[in-house]
Amino acid sequence: EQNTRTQENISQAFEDLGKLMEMAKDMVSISKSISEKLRLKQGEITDDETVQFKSYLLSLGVSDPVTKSAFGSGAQYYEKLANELATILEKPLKECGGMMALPDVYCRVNRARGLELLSPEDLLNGCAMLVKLNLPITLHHFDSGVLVVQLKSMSVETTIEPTAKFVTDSDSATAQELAQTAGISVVLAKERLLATEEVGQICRDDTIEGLRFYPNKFAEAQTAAS
Amino acid sequence: MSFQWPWQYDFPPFFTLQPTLITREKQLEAWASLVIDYCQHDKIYTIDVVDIQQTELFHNIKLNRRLPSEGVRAVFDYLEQKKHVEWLDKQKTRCHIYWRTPEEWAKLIYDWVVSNGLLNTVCTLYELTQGDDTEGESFHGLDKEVLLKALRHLQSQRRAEIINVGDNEGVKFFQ
Repeated sequence: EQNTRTQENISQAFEDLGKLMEMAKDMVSISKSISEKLRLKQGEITDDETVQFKSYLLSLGVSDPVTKSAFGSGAQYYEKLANELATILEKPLKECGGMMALPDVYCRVNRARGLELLSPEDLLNGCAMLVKLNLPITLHHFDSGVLVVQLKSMSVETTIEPTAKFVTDSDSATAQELAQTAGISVVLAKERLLATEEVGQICRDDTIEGLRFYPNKFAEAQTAAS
Repeated sequence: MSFQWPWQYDFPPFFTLQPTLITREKQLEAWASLVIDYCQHDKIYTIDVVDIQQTELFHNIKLNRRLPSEGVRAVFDYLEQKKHVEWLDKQKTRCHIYWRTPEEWAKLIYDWVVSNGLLNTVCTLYELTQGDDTEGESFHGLDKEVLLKALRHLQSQRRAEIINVGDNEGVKFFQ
């Protein structure tokens, strides 16, 4: 008795699902043809129309980057998101030294939301808008490929001096040690050390035990020896 | 007299090729002068690159650090660029090291010849580098190849003439 009922329920659910998929397929093909038409009509179209069309695409979950990028850069949705990120993140960023890797940001935002979660891509697109909107936080791209969100007032360049000082005070340091002392993630600590090395303030000792950084005595000795 | 190691030798990053260009330049400079001083102290004229990598010069046992072979290669490239090294083969495995360039040696020898009034006389090469008269001179014990290079340099300036006396080679100096 009970079993048959659940069986029925399940099969009904699956049928509904199948129907839903068909509907979605129609939507996809329609939106594709619309974007084709839009491409033909280029120039005769106002901004608002494409924006609206884009929000339809987003709600469907259809990604059509080519046509998306052809009409404006990202949807209004992202701009709103960027504004929201700025308000959410400003305080935590100040607390953790002005910089946060993107995965950490993703965790924080989604933890805070609970429902209506963000996809990683949404977050990335939202962050990409930060610069354009002239908000107090920006997205920064390290050479190593690490993406971070940082306060404009606390960029990597401003951390070089304290990092160099830390290495000098402790004679030598690894990324782990810096991370523990400064209370930042190891990834960020490494980026800071690399940036400091880049300007010739510190130098590296690379062994099987790991990568240590020392104050750049080569540069100092130059003045002492000659 | 034991060899005086520079402070860099006890500085661990010295044994890692620095990625930052400015720093690397300074590092190679320090390495180059260390290699030259070391060879001068031990009177080394020819270097076998593979052998020298095993010596204390590139391996600080106390620190447990050794300059990796690409680092050694970079040091020798730098020395070559500064004309302190001349390769003896295409594979770059053996080289002459000049803690002074042949031109500098030539000047030293010529000055010695002038101050000892030996102009217009013939000296054997053996005399110049192994003889008693040059005992206190810096070119005493100079490698024959290097000596010949120096003398050829003098010859090109018309201040010396290399001559073969039987199976001994000699050289005559001019004003």
